[in-house]
Amino acid sequence: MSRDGAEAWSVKRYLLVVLLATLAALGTVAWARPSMFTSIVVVAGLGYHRESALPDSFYSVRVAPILEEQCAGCHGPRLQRARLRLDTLGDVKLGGKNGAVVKAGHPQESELFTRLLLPKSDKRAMPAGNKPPLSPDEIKVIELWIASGASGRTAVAAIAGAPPPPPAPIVIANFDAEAVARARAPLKDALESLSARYPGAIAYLSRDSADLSVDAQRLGAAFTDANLAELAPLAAAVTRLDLSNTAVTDGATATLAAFERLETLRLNETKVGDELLSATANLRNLQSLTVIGTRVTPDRVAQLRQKGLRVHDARD
Amino acid sequence: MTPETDEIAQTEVAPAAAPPEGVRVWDLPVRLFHWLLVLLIVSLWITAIRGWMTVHYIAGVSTLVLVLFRVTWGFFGSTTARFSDFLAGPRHVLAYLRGLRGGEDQRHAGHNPAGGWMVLTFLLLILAQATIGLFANDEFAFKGPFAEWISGKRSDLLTRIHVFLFDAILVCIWLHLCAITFYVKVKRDDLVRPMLNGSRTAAQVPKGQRLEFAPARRALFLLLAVTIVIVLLIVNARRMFE
Repeated sequence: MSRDGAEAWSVKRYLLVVLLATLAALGTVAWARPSMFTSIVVVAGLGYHRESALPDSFYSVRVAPILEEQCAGCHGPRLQRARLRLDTLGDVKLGGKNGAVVKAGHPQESELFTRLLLPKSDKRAMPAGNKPPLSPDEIKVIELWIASGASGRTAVAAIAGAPPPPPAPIVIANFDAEAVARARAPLKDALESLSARYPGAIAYLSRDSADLSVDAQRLGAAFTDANLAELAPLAAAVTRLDLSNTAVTDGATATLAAFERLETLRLNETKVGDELLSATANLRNLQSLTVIGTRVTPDRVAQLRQKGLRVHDARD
Repeated sequence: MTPETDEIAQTEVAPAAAPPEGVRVWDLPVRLFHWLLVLLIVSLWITAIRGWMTVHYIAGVSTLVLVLFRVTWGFFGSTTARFSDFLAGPRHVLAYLRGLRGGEDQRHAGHNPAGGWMVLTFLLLILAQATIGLFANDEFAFKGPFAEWISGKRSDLLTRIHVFLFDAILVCIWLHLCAITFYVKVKRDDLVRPMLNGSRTAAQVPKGQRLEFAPARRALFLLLAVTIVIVLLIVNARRMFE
């Protein structure tokens, strides 16, 4: 059925041409979409080397926290946009559907870096959507890491010029608010009346605690043994007591013994002596005692120190 | 409107002898469909790679319209365009393939039995691909017009299927090209030229076979109808499912 009279191919020749053309086509696809073949290698378990990072490396200390905070939401265990994960060094090196995102030593050729520089109007800009862009310091850290070879073994100190790390975030632990409220309930009435009488002197140690701190120092010489005795309803809840610069004397020994959960006691610049400190025998939680400018004797201080109490006096 | 009732439908009969002049086998709608589909698939591939999603979207909807038109043309079009003409049962296909191996003289004015199933596979794959694309997203800023109807998770899943289906389409295109090469080079049966000029040599067409050609205005009407349906569906997408 030939029109041009040319000789027909043999089936063998045809199959050879098709085979070569197929290999060429597969080669083109492999060149255009390297991730496809990487994925096949990984899925087949053919030994793709998954690089891991040392815990004290520049990557672990400086880069990984940024990627975790800014990128892992869409490129992490839950979502793998563009088939890319950025939550481990191995995954960062593996790349996504468009191939590698990091070219070691060449940040300007690494999408992990270049996409951070795109204007927000560019839909390829990262982070995508309404997420705020990375700070200049964070971008600099990623640039320096890639420029240094994008390794998981390079030490923090080995990469010069990195911006200082951001201050550690303040972590507020979760607490059982109801349990705290229940523990505070018995103190409520007494605390209200005594707080009104001694404004600013009594406060809870923290929002997750029913322990109290009493700062009588601010009341100065007006605060006497009798005033300390008025705190008796709260005594069992007080863990910090500062009686410095007050008029408290050894006469308050019995009263002080009732503060059996005290951990910190300050008696600076008061007239108390060794007698008051006999009350400490009852204060089993006491860890720190400050007696600068008092009549407490060095022998008594030494005795208390022998018992394991941290005692600060004028000789320190 | 069918060829039987359409007064301006034309009939072409293959001569009993084998004169050098060609016999028209493919109508203009089928040929335009074929080459427009080639252009659209190439453009869809490029725009997907380059991330030109607006162009990709327009090309995708155009492909959907084109394929749906071809499906309707498979019922209301010319003889060689009709599914009833080129979809044969498995026995016929196997017999055809065996005959091919044995070098038998098997003539078909339109698609041969094996090619017919390849056409159907193409149509189904591209139809599925274009439809799924309406629910997909580009994982960044672009969403198909129906993507809002479903959850983001499902849209992501359909996006992955969209990517996978394109690979399947590429494999089919490759098989198609290998088959064309086989016919052109081994069988010395040029299938490309007829898809360009619509005619085959009389020697390639079964003797005495009557081919009816549906009028172009019917094709225009079907194309317009399909276009209106798809455009209305997309334009009213949100309103329909709110």
